[in-house]
Amino acid sequence: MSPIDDYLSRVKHLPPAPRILPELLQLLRHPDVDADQVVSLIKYDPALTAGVLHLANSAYFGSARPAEDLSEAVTRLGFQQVYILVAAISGARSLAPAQKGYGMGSGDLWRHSATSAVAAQIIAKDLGDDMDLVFTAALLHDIGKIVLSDTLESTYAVIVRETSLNRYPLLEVERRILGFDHAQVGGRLLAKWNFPANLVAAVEHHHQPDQAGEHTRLAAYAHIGNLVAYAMGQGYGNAAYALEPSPAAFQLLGLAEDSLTEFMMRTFDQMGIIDALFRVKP
Amino acid sequence: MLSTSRAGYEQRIIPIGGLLVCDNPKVVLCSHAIGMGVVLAACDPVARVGGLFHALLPEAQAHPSRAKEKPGLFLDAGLEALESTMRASGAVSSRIQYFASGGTQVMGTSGNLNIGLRNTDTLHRLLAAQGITLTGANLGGYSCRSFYLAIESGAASVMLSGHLQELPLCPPLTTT
Repeated sequence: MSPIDDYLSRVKHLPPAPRILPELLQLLRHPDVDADQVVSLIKYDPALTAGVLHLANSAYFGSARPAEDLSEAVTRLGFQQVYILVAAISGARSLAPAQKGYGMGSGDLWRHSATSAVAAQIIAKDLGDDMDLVFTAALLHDIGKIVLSDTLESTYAVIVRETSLNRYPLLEVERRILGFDHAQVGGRLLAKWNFPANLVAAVEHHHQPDQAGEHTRLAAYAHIGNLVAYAMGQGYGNAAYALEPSPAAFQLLGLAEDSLTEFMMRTFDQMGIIDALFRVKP
Repeated sequence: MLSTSRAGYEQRIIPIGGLLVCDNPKVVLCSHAIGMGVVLAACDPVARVGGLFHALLPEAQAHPSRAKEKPGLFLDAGLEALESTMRASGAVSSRIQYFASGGTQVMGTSGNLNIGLRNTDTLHRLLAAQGITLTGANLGGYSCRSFYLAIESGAASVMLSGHLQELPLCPPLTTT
């Protein structure tokens, strides 16, 4: 058993698995998917159904006449918007609680993740890549922090000292303390939940996307989405910015580094959707 | 503690890209989620006029339509708008005290990806060009911040994310 698997087996409270996401992603890839199939996947989760309806009828997504049931919401919004709502709500269950080991309050990690996801999706749309897949990778990129947070709470002062005074990246401090980092743990967690290999690799390598093997492109999206969120001020907790941006991520997507500011502005234009996603109760 | 709600005082939150000037001494101006962006605040303690903006980027040049709509998104356009609105609200230039916070940096790069460094460099250049000296500043470092300015007293402070204690901004203080 690897040290990470051994660690995960000893963690008392793992976050709830957003299991519906890989299933829904796979379903939406079929060209002949119909609304009933999507509804049947969601409807057995009452909280998810309520959340999708709530968001579908919110000021940002809603139309003049409210959608009264899931089927109507799916038909009206379209599969792509519904996927975002489902991903956001199921992701929020894991990401919304406070992560004290990182100095993050309730909702902080969730807001960072949602901003990363929206930013990455904007880029994916420009480049013609799978927006749902990219949204999911960026949304879940920091899920390993949820697992490590409890453990790091007792070593909080060490993290503060090593990042602020000794200027070590947060990732390196985690490795020094635990022997592994939140990206590795996040990837392993998704693998344990049977997420597809591309999402596992993107999360595991979101800080070094050029090391993600055949999934470098997806990892690059997660990296740049993460960076845009930080640039937008959506990076909370102690020493959250003690990270090293990867120029390789921009090269992998064929983007100039100075495009970062343009993506920041376009993500700023989408703050309405981020606020709407943030308000939903998982 | 400026971050704590006090009876008789109202906290007004200025979002990213926002700019507000206020002549109500019972108001505490605040802005949250200050990451690589910069909050620049101004206060005339005699006229009891205060204002701030929360910029994301150094210069408006590449984004003229956004700058017209929201000058506070950019340091150069925001500074111009802040100064003129302060004066229009009764502040006297020679009495205005300036405070800055933010410009959080990332590691290992000084180029295009280090927006925080670009923001702080531009801030210092813009202020120097106008002969403005900061009364207090908390810039750089690796943490997100919240900023507070009490118009009545002219006191300013910051709170670093993940910390519970406010840092007063007089005398000037930097975490880099």
